[in-house]
Amino acid sequence: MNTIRMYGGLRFKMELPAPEMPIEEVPPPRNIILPLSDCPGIFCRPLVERGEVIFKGEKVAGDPNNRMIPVHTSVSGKVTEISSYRYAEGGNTLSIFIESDGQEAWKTALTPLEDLTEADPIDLMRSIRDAGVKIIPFETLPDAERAGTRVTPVRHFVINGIGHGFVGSIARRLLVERSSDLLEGVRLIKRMFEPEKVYLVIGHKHEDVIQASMESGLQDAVEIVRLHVYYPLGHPHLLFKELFGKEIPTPHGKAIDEGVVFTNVDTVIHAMEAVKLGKPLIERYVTVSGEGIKTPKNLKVLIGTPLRDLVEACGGFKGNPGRIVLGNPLDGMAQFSLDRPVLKDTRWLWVEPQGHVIKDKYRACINCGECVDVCPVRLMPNFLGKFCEFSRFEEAASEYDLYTCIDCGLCAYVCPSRRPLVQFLNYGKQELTLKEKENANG
Amino acid sequence: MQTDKFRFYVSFPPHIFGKKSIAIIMYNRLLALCPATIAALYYFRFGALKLIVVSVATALIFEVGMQKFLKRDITVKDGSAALTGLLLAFLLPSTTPWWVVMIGSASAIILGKQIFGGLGNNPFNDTLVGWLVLRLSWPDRISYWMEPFGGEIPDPPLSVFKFDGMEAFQDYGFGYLDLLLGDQAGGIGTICVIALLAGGIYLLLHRIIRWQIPVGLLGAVLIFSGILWLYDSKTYLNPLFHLLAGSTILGAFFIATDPVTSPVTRWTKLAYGIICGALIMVIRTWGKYPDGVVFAILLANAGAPLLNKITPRPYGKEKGYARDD
Repeated sequence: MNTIRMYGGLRFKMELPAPEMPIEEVPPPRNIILPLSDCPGIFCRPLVERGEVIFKGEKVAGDPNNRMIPVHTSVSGKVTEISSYRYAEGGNTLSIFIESDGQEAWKTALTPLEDLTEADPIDLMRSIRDAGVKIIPFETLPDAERAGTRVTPVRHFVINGIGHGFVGSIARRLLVERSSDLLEGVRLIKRMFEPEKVYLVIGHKHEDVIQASMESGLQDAVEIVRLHVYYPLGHPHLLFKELFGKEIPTPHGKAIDEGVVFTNVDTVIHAMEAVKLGKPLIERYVTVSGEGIKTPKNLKVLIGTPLRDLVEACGGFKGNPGRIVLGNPLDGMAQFSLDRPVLKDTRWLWVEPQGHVIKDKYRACINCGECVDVCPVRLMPNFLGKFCEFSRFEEAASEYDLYTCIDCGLCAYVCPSRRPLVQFLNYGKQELTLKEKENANG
Repeated sequence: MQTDKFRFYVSFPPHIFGKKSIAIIMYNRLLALCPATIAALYYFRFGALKLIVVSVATALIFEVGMQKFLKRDITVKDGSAALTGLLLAFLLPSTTPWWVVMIGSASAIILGKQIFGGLGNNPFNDTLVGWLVLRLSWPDRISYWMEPFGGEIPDPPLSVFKFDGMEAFQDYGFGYLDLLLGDQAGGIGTICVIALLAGGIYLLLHRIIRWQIPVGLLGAVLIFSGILWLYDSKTYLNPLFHLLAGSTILGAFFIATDPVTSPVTRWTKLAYGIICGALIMVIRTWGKYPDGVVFAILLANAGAPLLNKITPRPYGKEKGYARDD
């Protein structure tokens, strides 16, 4: 049985098969797909043409207005096509299709930088950005470049080593294996942002992480915070409260306004590689787990690799797969095709066997209050769900604070009526956004 | 592009679900009522069996019939109709004629639940609505009380106290142990307090119900009657009698905790329990009815939507923030 905490989250005792195995490398794929956008509305402009021969690590797309991070190819080969590809998250997105020649010929415009002490923080920021790594909220970057000053002062830098607070996060494995690289990354962060403190958040039972950080000396460079992990503690809002005892003003407050930055372990490692090795962001660390996969594994994958290669590297499906989910089972997106590439935000591929898929029809709310008990931001998901189901979005937003919702998915998880509350709430948010846009346009 | 032999389900998150479902909640409640059912069968034999079978069967039939008639999904398998029927039987004396039980059970399903839109939309507890129909239509048919095994006290202790006064009550000499084990006149399922307590504790341990409502209700009854008793122990009953006699325990663990008609947050649940308990004592002390549990819970049901207006402060809002409505 799972334990419900007093207003906030669920401690999952259920053990998903979380592989504590060394990270393995997946062989380079034959074909890759690189989308040119990771948020709706903004696109990078492709810098290559169809049929062009490109090298591994080459910049293939960039945003002239610097609103988005550039895209680098992770294989060398030929551009076969530039057209739209359908993603489960964002719909059709312009993407570059590349066929590998298997040569691994490397070419990059980035130059490695060995000595950090001389470097200008703004230059460091720029080279991290050019490598395609998004280390802090992006909107603050161009302003700083224009003004020629440091970005918003960062007082506390928090490295999240617990993922979303779900069992089976890749961050723990990275902390064990790449501890010394992370130490380099922390030095880089200290040089760039000069924060008062760098925190590393880990679970209270993660003795292997402590062991590794003692060996590498990471322990002295950061303040290690050991927390009793529950889902969704990894969300910035909740981590902020846990660490600093305050709450970020909702709905439009951001942690960066309070001088706090949250990043993941892999982002820090990628930033370090970008500066020290001059290596653009072309690979990801992905956990493949779930009961529908033969041998759950931790993998190092090139960006753009189709999910099929990941599944093959893990020995294929066990029985018939029911759902493949990118992200954790509570807020990840179910994918409809194994051709879908690994992207810059992919950390977890979760496979559910066919027998486990629940196909219940949802019923009326029975007012039991489970969702109210479990909601980590103390909303009333039962009323929000009813209001959004019957298109009374304004009331949901004004009376029950719809925008405070962090989409953790716990309300729908506990609901005995199987109401798709996350879907209702997202529908409400989307409709309200559309209405606001209409009003703004007259 | 390769073609796949697999096809995947696509759905909105979350992709895993908790174990609790409506059916599990209802079947657990039915399971928790098993000790009391066995006690009822032991004390009243055929009378109880007839009552339970007729009530549950009528509830199930009318649930299916109404759902077919109103073109809704047939959800009789979730056990909620059976629970309604069983609880209604529990509130009635073993001498109730079968047709009265049928009408009560049918009106519980039709008037109590289905005309409002089915489970989840009824403002008042459906069992109590069915009981109320019988109480208003055939008050004498459902008050031929009987003590188990043909004992010599034909009235429930609270009725004795209400109508015959304190002296008669003391003459009968009700013992706590008798009340606890069920040797009292009353509704077939309400008399065996110890069986009901066992079921209630089972529900609490399995987190089917929260502690707030039972604790609030029983606490309010205890404190309210305790104050009266301390003030004048000659005219007012001992608090323990109030707990053990009548349907206090059944109401506290099984009827007031009905999720549909109780408020949603923790503290409003506690307030709801306290309101129920206080109303029970008000009715018992100054009202016309000897056992006010049904009326108290129905009145508190009416107040539940108001209690639902009290919501917790969401994340990131200042204390005492104003909603912009």
